[in-house]
Amino acid sequence: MTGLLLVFILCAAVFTSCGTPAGNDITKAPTSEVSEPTEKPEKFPNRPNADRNTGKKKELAEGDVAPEFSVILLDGTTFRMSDHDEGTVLLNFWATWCGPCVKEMPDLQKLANDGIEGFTVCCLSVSDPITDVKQFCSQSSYSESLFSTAAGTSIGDYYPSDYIPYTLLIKDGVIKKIYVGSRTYQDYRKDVDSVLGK
Amino acid sequence: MTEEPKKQSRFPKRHYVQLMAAVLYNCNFRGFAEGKIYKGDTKGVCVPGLNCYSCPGAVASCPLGSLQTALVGSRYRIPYYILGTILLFGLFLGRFVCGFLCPFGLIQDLLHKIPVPKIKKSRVTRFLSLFKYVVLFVFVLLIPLWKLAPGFCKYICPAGTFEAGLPLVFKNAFLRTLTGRLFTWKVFLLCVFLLLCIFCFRAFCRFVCPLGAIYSFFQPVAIFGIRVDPDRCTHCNACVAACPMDIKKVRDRECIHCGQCVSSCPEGAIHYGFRDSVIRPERPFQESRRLLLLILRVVLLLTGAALLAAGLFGGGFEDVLNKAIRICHECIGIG
Repeated sequence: MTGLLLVFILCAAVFTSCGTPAGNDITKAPTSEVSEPTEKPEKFPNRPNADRNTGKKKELAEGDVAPEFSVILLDGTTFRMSDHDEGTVLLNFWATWCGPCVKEMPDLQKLANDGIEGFTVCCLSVSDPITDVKQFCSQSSYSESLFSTAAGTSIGDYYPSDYIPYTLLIKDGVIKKIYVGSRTYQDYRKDVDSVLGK
Repeated sequence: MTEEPKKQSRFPKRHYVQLMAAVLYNCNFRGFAEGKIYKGDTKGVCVPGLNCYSCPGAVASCPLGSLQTALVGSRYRIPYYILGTILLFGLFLGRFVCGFLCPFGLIQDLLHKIPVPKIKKSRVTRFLSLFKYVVLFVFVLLIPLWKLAPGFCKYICPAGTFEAGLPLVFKNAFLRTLTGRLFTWKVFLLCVFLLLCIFCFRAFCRFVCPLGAIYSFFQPVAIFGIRVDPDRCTHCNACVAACPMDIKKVRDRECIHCGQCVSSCPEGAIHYGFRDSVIRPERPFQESRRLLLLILRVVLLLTGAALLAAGLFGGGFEDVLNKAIRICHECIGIG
């Protein structure tokens, strides 16, 4: 019976250390809205499009065209992959419950703070509702312009991976490097400089 | 002259049940051939035993792994679903899970069959059996909540290394490039546990397993398992002597309901069943004790059901599923 009491105490400890129930509803929490892409000449006509659920879903490799998608970031702006066909993007898939993902976030924020011209960092959670991402972002003081979620969209189907963190370095719409597992600021910076020819 | 033991209704063929459970948990055989994990919806369900969800064969989730990853993200979402699942498994089965429904338990049982000199249980092993509660507190609760890492999976779990780490790293050249000191440490620890289990019965279960530690809290109220008939029991302690675990009495926190005591009892007083064993006419307040036990069970049942319902309603199933369909780096030792 003493053991049973201990269980209750442990459960109570878990409960009190946990967050507010407000973030508990994954199914009802709003996910990123997908806006209609604007009409413009397409650089890659056969590009898979996660927004329209068109094109071939496949495991991506270096040299592939990055599938099209758009998400509303936490700051309210829209990130659309095709808008960066003349730039460089570090696209990171992560989750609030993934230790290695959370560990490398300060490095990604630092990379974004460097203000490299034509370079954008975009971090998409694979499963968290937008409320959780917002809470994560505000608790750790990360820029809202970097974060959104891919939960409830088809983005994950077009960027499939068995692993997170899963990060892609994309230049001019083409995947230059794929990282599985966390990396340091130095690792990313070296590769970004390399693809930018610095 | 000693009397022949009376015929017992012994639970049939424990190792077959263990084998069936292991196959049932890991029936995605194609995953082993391809080196890929299963991504179906059943991964949102937790099995009762320790079975790594990053195992290529696993079609369901490990309750301990799910609990840790849920605690890592618990500042955003309370893990009602997993807590409810574990509570109900504990209430209905207790450490019967360890004896019958744990694949890593089967591996340990088979290793112990290797004929070499064995380490006998003693006061030292009984004391060491408390270590698993330290592991539970530090690696399953403290590290996930404080350091945001599934501590037990990352630094200790030999089942994860055996079922997920080795097959995945063997099949994936890419994963081999990610292995480092952590993987070496986990393989070393796995070898230590496997070697120890040859000489010492269920060394991992007895001294380290935090899931066994969790289920041990439910032993006094577990609905199914080993039962002692108080009318027949003569307190000869033959059962305790025959038990390979560090028990002080049948069905205490260390009892895994393996049934070794059933055949050793000269009075035929031990059996599997649902009947309570707390009723002893010679002890006072038996009716009150029975009533208290009933109330406790009802409270736990309602709590478990409420937690499970709240978890399911709040997306707990999808939460477990989302985590289990991705390879856990920490489980395989490359975190």
